[in-house]
Parts: sequence; structure tokens; C-alpha cells
Amino acid sequence: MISDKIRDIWERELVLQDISDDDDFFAVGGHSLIMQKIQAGINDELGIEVPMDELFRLATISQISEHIAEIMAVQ
Amino acid sequence: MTQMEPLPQPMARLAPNAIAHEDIKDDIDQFERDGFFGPIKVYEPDEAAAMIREIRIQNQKRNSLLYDNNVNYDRHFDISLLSEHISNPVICKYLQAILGPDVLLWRTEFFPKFPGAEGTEWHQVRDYSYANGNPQLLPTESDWNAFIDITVWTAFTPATKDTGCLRFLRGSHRAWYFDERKSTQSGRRQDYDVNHSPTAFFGYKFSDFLIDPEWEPPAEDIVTMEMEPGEAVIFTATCVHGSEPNTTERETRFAIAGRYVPTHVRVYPDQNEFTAHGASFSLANYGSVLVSGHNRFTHNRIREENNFGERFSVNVATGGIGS
Repeated sequence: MISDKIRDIWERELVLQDISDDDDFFAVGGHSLIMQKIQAGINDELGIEVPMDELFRLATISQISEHIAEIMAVQ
Repeated sequence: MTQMEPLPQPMARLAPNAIAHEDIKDDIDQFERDGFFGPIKVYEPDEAAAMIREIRIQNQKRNSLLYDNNVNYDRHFDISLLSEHISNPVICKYLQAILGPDVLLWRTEFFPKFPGAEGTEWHQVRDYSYANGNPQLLPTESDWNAFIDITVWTAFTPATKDTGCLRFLRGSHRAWYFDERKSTQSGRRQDYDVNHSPTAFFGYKFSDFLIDPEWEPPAEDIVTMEMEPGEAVIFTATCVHGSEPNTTERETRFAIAGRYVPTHVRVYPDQNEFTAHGASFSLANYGSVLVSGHNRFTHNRIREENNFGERFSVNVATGGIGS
């Protein structure tokens, strides 16, 4: 599942456990330096490069997972 | 060794043509006495939270920047919410009451303070020459014995003692504790990275500018300015100020500062570029923005639109007693 991968990356970079799919990135303490690491993680582990502004706009695990699934579906 | 000229008397008065808005008279009296005033409500907390969410998204778009820099100068040219924010009527009302009717915005800056970030050390700024040795502001009216530069610092997340709120030294705008003309070994080199600097002032060690190296701020005059999202503090940078560290684990403090001058002040006099905080900026497309009144001077380039062709708003300079 893409969302499992994303959750792993979020939990690793935010140094948090039990993040729910609908938790907001900023509400759990995210900021731009952490998002850069998440972006790199998604690129490395899923082979998808998501622009930073998209990552900021799609600020939950479920939103970003859905977006990546759509990208993968057309590849 | 060349002896430096004595510093001029601090210009710590209201403009002679300041607009006396009666409903904020007490606030302005306090500002004149203390060198700062706040908090002032500019936005409702929910509105501020929505704004900062969008600003953080737009901040990641870098294709319409005026100049790329990691200290986030002048993003009011390519973030529309900031284009509007700089001429917010509440802010401009206070500016008119201090600087007079005709006001330019000359710079905006982001101030994110990430969890674990150090406090910003005490500093006092007159003409911003600390950055590279050149004054960045130059008043042209020789009889102007009033404030020449005002900062409005608006919090978009809670600014608390834990997240790194500002602190001020009450009344310190009437004397010089720092002299920006002194030499410094820090901050002016091009290889400084503001995000990874060991100093507590954006790559500079501001204590290098202390007139008396042994100076310590009197504890009884220190005022800590905690603020809600959407609240602003207005201050003269000649009032000694700094910030607390962010001791939280997960709360980034985010604020945006706008810097304003009366129109007679020359901005970046005789400069085509400037260097600050480890970055160089071409001023080829730079211009100040008129946010209130009229500009009868020709010495500053004025930008009337942001980088998307959206016009900046200009507040009408009316109101106050007798108008």
C-alpha cells in the first residue's frame, strides 16, 4: 500500500508514531526542512518526485497517497 | 586609526505630519514612549491560520521570485496574500500615526523559527548598514527629527515564550547601545548559510556592534511580547530587540515582518545590489511599494504591481483630529 510507505516516511522524518492518515502535517509539527526529507524519501522509495508546493498542499497521508497513486496509474 | 563620527541623536519622535487617529491615540503615545506597541489585532486567528497555510504553500513556488534567497526577502512580489498584507488598513493606520500620511514599504521578511532554534540576540538597527557596511536607508529631509523606519511584525502562529516570541528593551530607542558602523568578522562573508549559522542573528554576531562590550540589558526594562496568530507588534528597529529561543519540540513559530519608511527616505541609496545574510541581491527589478498617501519624490523606484501584474493597494491618508 502506498499509504503505508508514506506513513513510514512521515513517522521516520517527523520522529512520531501512530500518525493517522488524516493528521495534518503542520498540526503534527511539520515544517519545510522536514518536508524536504519527506520529499527525498518519496523520491527514493517510490520513485516519484512530488514538488514541494504539492506536498504542502496535500498535507495528509491520505491526500498525498491518493495523489501518488494517480501519478503511478498513468505511468 | 580613524575616529568615527559621533552617532546622530536617535530620531525617536512622531512625524510632524503624523495623522492623529483618535481611536489609537493611547497606543501611539505608548509606542512613542516605549519604542514598540503591541499586540495589535490584524486578523482573526482562524483567518491568520488559513493565510499562513496558503503562504507556506506559495513559499515553495520559486518561479516568480524577485530574487532567490534563503532569508525570504520581498516575497510580497510573488505571494499574492503578502501583496495584500503589506497595505492592510489596520497596519497602515498605525503607520500614518507615526510616519505621516505618505508611506513606503521597502522590505518584507519571513521569520520562521523552527523547534530548537536559538533566540535572536539583542540588536538595534538604525540604517541596516550592519549587513554590508553601507546604509540601506537615507533620510533626505534634513530637518526630519522623527522615526525613519518602522517594522510591523505579524505573527501567523502562536508567538509565546516557548516558541520564540519577540522581546524588547523598553525605551531603548532613545540611546545608542550598538553602532552598526563597527567592523565585524561575521555575517558579511558570502559563504554564510543563514539556515546553518552558529550565530544567533542570521549569520551575524550582533554583539560585535556593542558600543560597550560589557553592556547587559537591564532586566526591569525587558518586555516579552507574546502574541496570538493574527496579531502584530509595531516597533522601531532602533529599540533594542531580540527573541526567545524556540524550546518546543514541534511548534514552528512563523511571522512576517514589513518594513516601512516615509517617502522622503531613500532606499538602497546609490546601490544596484546589496549583500546581506550571506546572499547577494540584484536590485534591477526592485522597487518600494507605496502603501499610503502620495509619493512626491523621484529618488526611489516604485513598484505599483507585483510579479503577476496585480496592483498593490494604497491607503488613503485621511482621518484623525481636524481632518
